[in-house]
Amino acid sequence: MLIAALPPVAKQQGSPRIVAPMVPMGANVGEPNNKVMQTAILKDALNALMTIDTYGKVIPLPYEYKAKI
Amino acid sequence: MKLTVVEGLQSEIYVPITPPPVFTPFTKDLKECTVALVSAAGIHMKSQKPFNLAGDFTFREIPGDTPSSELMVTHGGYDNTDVNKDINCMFPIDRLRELAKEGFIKAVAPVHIGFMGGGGNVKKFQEETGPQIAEVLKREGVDVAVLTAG
Repeated sequence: MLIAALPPVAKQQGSPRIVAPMVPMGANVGEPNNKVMQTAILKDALNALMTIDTYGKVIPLPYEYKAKI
Repeated sequence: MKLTVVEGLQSEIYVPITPPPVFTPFTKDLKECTVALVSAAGIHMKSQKPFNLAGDFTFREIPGDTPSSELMVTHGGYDNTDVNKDINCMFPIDRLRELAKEGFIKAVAPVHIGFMGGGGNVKKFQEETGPQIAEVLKREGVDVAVLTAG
């Protein structure tokens, strides 16, 4: 199961199972020190194992983090 | 419209080729699964050899009980600011331990894997590094690998 910040790239590279929260590259599992968001993303990623039944599926996850650059 | 066909004409632009599909059905209950983290984000232990920023197809085995404070990142292909603040935002080792404690999964794997993606020798990754990592995970009885990359 891949947690991707760039889902089109992950799909193109052949990843069989992808979840995609709305996060920047470098914080794929969510905001730093945000335990609630990280736990939710990780749990949803694991739960998606049971719902993804075909190759190359991308499941968007409803969590958003924008890095302050 | 008639298409012009020129034999032997090749594009000068390299285009990525999606590899053939690999899909293993998931048949277990999550509560019975041992879960490993595999990250292309350049994660390794502070005591391990850092990755070569110019390109590196090697990987590091990270023992399952490694404290998150013992981990660091060597990767020049993305902004490391967030992951330097909290390794869990790319390598959710503390979160995974909490899920095991809660009974959401059976166990944290005895070993995790870190490597540096984002280029380098892709052929080596595909033909050597990838299969070697898969062997380690099989050897350690891992049911599920959660990857962070891309």
